[in-house]
Amino acid sequence: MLHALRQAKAQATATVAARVGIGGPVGSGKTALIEALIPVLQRRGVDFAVVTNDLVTKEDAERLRRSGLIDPDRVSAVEAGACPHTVIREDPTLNIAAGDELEARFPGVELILFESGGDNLASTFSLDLVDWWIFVIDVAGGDDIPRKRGPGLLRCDLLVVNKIDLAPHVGVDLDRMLADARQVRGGKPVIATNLKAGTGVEAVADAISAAVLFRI
Amino acid sequence: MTASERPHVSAAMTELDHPALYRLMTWLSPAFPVGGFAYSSGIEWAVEAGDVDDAASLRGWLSTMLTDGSGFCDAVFLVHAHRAMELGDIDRLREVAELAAAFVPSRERQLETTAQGRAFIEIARSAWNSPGLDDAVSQCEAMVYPVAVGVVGAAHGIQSSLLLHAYLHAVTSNWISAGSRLIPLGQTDSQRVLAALEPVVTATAVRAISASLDDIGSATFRADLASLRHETQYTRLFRS
Repeated sequence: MLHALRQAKAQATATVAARVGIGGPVGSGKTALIEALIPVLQRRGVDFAVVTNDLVTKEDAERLRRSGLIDPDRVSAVEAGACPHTVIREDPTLNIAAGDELEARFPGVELILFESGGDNLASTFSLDLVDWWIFVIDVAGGDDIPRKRGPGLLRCDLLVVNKIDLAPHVGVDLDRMLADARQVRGGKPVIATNLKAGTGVEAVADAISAAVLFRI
Repeated sequence: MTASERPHVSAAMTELDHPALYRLMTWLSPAFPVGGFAYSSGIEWAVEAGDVDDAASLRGWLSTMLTDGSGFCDAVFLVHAHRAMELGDIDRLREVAELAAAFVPSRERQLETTAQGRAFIEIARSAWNSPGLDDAVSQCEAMVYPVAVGVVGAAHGIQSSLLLHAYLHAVTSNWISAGSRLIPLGQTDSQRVLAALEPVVTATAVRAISASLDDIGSATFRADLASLRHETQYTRLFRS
């Protein structure tokens, strides 16, 4: 569902960017996922921009801007420290404004990624803000996370389980963790990644393309 | 409140029809989605600098901001925007909106008040039908938050003084919310600060309701400097 503002704008300009949320706990790999997606999306010819929701600094936005992967002007930072849940759910005003501003500056942009501030398993995105969203957890956070059935993990359109290479080192049975995740999600998609090595990134890009860019 | 004020206030309340009361409560509730939770009006720097470090110093800081700072100025702008909108005087409204925008002391306070003003009008316009609002908004370049509240309130026939008291109380409450997260304060102390500031809110509103635009002025140098210094604060929870 698109926000009323964007509907009005869509009528005026005929194009409007798809908005995709990326949420998940602190340190699970949200920024790493975006860093891994950037070259893949560029290679596929997708015109995109990024909004980061940093908790207490501008570290994530600066990390992406300095990465050399993307035009720094295409990365916008929203400071969300006071309420990381609120700014993507109850009151996404700041993020909607950041997205509108990027669309105005880059008229051809077709995809905007919104990285949420690191949060907990209860965080979900407002569908006023995004059309589709990803939740990122990692195996080092514990294999009991899927069984806790947090709203973020249950409601997201795509669950990414990151750092699968660490499973043997932290005593996690990866197959079982993934099976639990698929079971509690009632068959909604789950993708296992090792973002350091690039494992699973193409599959995430495929899922985004199919869901919101209507490219298979 | 004195005994002589009481009949006046209760009479005002009965004039307010119920939907107007609901709107007033909704628009000035912390749950109304204008992004208010993300701004501290420089209080974050005041805490960092040690100017504010407990309930008493927060109360003192906010009392000054209300009486001699943005509280009083914004209250006067709200009243004059409301009046211009009520009279359908768009030229006057444009002047008030421009002056209010020019009075903002720092870049981040400017972000705070213009972003909230814009969001306030957009969401109020999307959810409620407000005759005349579109025309008024299109005639003004930018509407800071108090101007937006005054204009939307007038478009809905909400009495100026009720709107003003509710606005000042809500702003004070939001400042306390920021302070309580930063200092940090317990919830009981936060409510005590709010209770202690009630007479200051009342006095500021009463002074503002009859003030002219020439009465506007502020003398909160430290609070203004705090909002400037906050721009370069590295670790921060708030946008202002």
